[in-house]
Amino acid sequence: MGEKLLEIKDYSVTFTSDKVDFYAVNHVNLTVEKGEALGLVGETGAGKTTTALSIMGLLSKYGTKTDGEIWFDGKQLTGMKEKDYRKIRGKHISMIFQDPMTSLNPVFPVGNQIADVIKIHNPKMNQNDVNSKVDEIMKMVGISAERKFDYPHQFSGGMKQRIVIAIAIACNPELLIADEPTTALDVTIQAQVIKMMRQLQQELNSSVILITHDLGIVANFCDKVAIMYGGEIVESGTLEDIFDKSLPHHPYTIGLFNSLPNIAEKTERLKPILGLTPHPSELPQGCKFHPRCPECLDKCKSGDIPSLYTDGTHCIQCHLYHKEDA
Amino acid sequence: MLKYVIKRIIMVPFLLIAIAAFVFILLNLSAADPVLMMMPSEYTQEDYDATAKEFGLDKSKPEQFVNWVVDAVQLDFGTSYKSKAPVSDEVLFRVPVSLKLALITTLIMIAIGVPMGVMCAVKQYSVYDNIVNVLSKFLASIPGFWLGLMLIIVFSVDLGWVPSHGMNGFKSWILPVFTFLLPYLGNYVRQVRSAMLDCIRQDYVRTSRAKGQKESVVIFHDTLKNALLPIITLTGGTFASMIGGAVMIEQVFAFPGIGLKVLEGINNRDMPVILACTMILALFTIGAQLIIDILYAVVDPRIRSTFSKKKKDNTPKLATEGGIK
Repeated sequence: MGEKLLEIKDYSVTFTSDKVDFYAVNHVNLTVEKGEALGLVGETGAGKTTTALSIMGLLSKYGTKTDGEIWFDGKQLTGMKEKDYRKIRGKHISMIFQDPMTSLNPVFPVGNQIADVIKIHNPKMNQNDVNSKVDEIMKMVGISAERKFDYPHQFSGGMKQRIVIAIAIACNPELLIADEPTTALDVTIQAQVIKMMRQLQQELNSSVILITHDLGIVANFCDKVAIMYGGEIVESGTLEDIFDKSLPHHPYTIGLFNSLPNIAEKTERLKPILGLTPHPSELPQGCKFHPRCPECLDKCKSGDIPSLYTDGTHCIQCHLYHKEDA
Repeated sequence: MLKYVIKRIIMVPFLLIAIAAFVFILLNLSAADPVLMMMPSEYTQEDYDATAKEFGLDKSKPEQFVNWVVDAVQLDFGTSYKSKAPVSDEVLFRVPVSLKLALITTLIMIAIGVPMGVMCAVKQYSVYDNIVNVLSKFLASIPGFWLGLMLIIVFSVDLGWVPSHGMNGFKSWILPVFTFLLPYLGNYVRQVRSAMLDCIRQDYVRTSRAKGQKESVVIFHDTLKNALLPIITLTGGTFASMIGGAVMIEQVFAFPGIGLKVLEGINNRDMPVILACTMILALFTIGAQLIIDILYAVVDPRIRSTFSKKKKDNTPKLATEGGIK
């Protein structure tokens, strides 16, 4: 067991818009240890990005209510003054955003955009050192340093994502949050980017939170996995805990795996999870997954969130595994 | 880039001649015979012919136009039908007045309007935003002549701080400039606000914050530069329309600007005056447009790269890059 780097305790986010409440994140508990890669998996709208932005402190202030605590390296991030938070953003925690096409500022050369983050956190560094640092980082992400005077529109999508990654790793952050870093890229580039991120993680010894809905990438990259559904973490554990089919799993996790194409069985159709993700303004009572759950019990439909079934590092939030007690 | 600018500048004379031809044809389509208008109530055919010859109106229309162009190039815009004085003397001294009025007003508009609009966008839906919003709608809907008269009553008649009319010294510019400015400012602030709002929710703004950038830098450096394109368009267009559009101000404050002269020329069917003023206004509009285009390229690298041919390409391309564009 390593040292705890990030700890999220009973954290919730509610957005209010036109007097309707959106429960985006509900009572999430998460820990990330130093040097560890955590995969945060879930469908669109499960609250993954909201959780990530909460860690960065970048949620919009208007109409947003948060509850619970986020601790980073012994400091409480929730309720931290903006001025202090700025010193953490980009330096200690940084984030790779989902869409490389829009994440870079179109009117500044990419080299300047990388240099910005270095200058912000090393105000005394002279310009030559900044420049050589930029060159070094661009080389790390596999882009020729000569291209630092080019603008984002002169790069392809995969190259832009490398620049976004370069900005994120420029100050050797302890925690790197990668929000679907490969979603906007095509498959061949995905593999390159993931491979590069893993190399970088090993070189810099950072912790990583990888947000994705691609279980293949998780299996490739992560040490721990947390499955999110309806703003809750329904199952979490080590990579083995989640990917070992002989262990008990949350029905949602089983559904996720079943919906992947399997090369061993030649099936005509995939087996998707029936139904749609609940809208965060109309989350169902009881277990959030019960309307879509093939093994739904009566007690799932009402009352509290099911308690956790734990087995070592493996946690499942489901009534199914408390049958004996009930 | 330079090539583009030169190309645009070469276009200017042709554009001006085209505009002149258009105005010339339009004016000649109006049925009134200019020679007849200059005649006293009783006249002989000799008088008529003499006047026509004096003003070059005995020649064919195309010939008249060519003659006009040749003279205009030498800044001789002919003789006014009404006052019988050279048009150049009547019009050219008005240009600096109109230009100065428009320039000062535009600069103040930028200096006040941009920060106000930006703050509105940053604090969208706040009390400040709402107040500015209402205020700017109010300003944009005030008629200029009413505002001018009210300002004169308060600041020159009652308080006696500034002269009510005429053009002597710095003080006499204050009221005209503000009367001119306020209605434009209302609109300007709202446009800057919406240009900023378009940019402020973009992903790259979030990226900038995620770097730990100070909020002031995020707004005034990273976001504003992106919002500049529509702001430049608006500013340039406003400036061009101000040069000829100050008729009300010139009337109320007795300012010898170009707008009043156009109006006078139109009322008198005084073709040389109309043509001369139109040319001057066209020249400034084209000039403003040219500056807008150049500023576009300065601000936005994407536009710049469409202007300039790909410079020496010595960077080795990765396989993922789409080869030659």
